[in-house]
Amino acid sequence: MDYSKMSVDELINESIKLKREIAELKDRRVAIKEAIKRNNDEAAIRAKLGKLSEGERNALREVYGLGDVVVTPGPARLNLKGG
Amino acid sequence: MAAGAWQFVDGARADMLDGTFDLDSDTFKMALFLSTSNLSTSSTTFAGVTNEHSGVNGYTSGGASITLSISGTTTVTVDIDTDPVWTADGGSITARFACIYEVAGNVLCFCLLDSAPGDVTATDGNTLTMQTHANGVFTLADAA
Repeated sequence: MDYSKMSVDELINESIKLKREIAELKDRRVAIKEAIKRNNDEAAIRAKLGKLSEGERNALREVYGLGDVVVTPGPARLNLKGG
Repeated sequence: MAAGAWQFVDGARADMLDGTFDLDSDTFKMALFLSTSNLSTSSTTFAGVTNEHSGVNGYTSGGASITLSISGTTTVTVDIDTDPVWTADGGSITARFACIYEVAGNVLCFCLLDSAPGDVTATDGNTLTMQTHANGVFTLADAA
């Protein structure tokens, strides 16, 4: 774009347009930084969870819950011996 | 979390053979026990088993009534008609073991709810279902 051939009004409009685009880019950058932080936080929490003791995990389950629980014991074994 | 298999107490085999347990006629219940319970293969009477889950948070002392059914001819399966379900209410239900016993009688079998072993917890508002295995509690068949 050859600014030397533009009128003053056109230059002012172009400047306003660029300013708006810069503001939009800044907002996007902030959103990206927040997403990175959230991901890092989640990764840190996951890493921490992997190191918790059974007692600590149970304590977290108490607080946050795990939803419905279904327990399916396997069948018992009988060993019959014939003569 | 994977549950353990049902395990007979030592006296259960004789109790089945001498008719002490009439599996599809007698009254049976399933109860939940804490990690501190003395429930083991040496257990005999239900009354002798310690540290049942207390009767709070949606659990009733003595556990839930169950009906055992027998099906099949050459391969006979003992199954639970309707899976017991407890809904935690006012707090969590946390247990280490479940056992099947005859009311006012002996323990038939028991299992770890988490074979790790570990406790299993249903938090307030959630259910704990003892889902019967596809092969029931146990199956009696010809030796392979």
